[in-house]
Amino acid sequence: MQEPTLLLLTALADAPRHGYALIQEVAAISGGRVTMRTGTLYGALDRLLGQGLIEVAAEEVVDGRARRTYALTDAGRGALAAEAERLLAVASEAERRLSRVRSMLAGKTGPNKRPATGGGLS
Amino acid sequence: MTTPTIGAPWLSPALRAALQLYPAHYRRERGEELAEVFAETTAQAGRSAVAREVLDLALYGLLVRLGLTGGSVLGRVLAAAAPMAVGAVVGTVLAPWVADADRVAWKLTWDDSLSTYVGIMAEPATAMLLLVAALLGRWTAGRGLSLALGAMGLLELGRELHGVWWSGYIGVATLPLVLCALVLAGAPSDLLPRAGWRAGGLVLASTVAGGLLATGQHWDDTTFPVDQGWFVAMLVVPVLLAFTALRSRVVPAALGVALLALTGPASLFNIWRESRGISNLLPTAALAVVLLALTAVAVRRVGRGGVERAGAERGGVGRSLV
Repeated sequence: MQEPTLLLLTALADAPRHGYALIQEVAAISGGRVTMRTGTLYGALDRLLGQGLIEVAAEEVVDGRARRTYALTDAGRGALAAEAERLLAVASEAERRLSRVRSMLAGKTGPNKRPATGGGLS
Repeated sequence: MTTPTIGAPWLSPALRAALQLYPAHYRRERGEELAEVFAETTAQAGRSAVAREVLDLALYGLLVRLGLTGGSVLGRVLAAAAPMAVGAVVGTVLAPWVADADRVAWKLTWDDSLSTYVGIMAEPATAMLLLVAALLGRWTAGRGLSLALGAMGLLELGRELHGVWWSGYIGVATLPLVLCALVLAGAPSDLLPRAGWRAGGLVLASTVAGGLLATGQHWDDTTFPVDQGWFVAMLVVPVLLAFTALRSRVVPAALGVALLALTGPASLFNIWRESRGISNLLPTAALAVVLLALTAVAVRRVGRGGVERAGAERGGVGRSLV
């Protein structure tokens, strides 16, 4: 799943949102790293609508203007859950391997400690 | 709420112009919504940020009008075809450097001028960079490089416009570069594959295939070892594959588009050349075009039921899509 898609689906995970709110949520979720422009946002929304991952939840009139809110469909929730699970598995594995290396390094640099592995080397 | 008319006086005309690029039905359905989001995102923005926003909005409008969005079949076909077209074209550009090094060396020693070296090295160097960009999934850079390669092809073709035969002969080598640039330029960015073994493997396999085809064919060589039947096949088969887009079959259609970018110019030129004149070719070509058009209509008709059922199963979601 491409990052903008993941960010948009995540932004819609807890509540339906309209266009500008989605731009703000995406910026917040990505820590300000991703700022979606209007054309880019609607390109992604059109594609996700076409794929059946999101739907138009409501068309309200706010301050005399039509405002359309978007929500995840069941398929969208499923796709997001599957992607989150995949990312979590990768992140857990990365963390597990890094902590092993960290503990090895700590053992190597600690006072009067021998390396935990590599004992075969002379 | 902020409205599109608030802000600098030049903002509204710019916004209106950008919205005019969208098809009327899209503008009717989404125009007000787009304008509102635009107004809110640009409420506190400086001139350059507003200009970028207008450009982004206008670009998407153009893509919607051309049917090149991530939600359209054409957009998906071009995005799937782009890695293959890029790989194949890179293969054809680099093949002579591997397969015919003596000829390249002869060209390099033609004269000692810098312009000769630059002229000869520019295409393979750009092709190498394009290959690296495609393998790394850097498609923005890839677009720029493929456009540069396409521009080089057009320049070379422009310099060699001396009669139909010679122009066609030069076009065999240069037009695939232009077609590849168009495929990549039209592919929606968000659908182009990220770097990975699968995408990289596809690019590399296409590079090898393009290189082998160019080397085996010698189709920029005046000896033309392949007969007309093969050239007809290399034109008709990709066209038929591309027709599967009419039934929303993205992968075979993408393969057809990528093949057409590679083999189309050579096939057209050689069919014309071996027919010994347009008057001899015209009756057969007219019949072929009619048959292909009938096939396209048949494919479209046969596919319609399935496409409509699929749309109904989605509950009508995305009906406003192009």
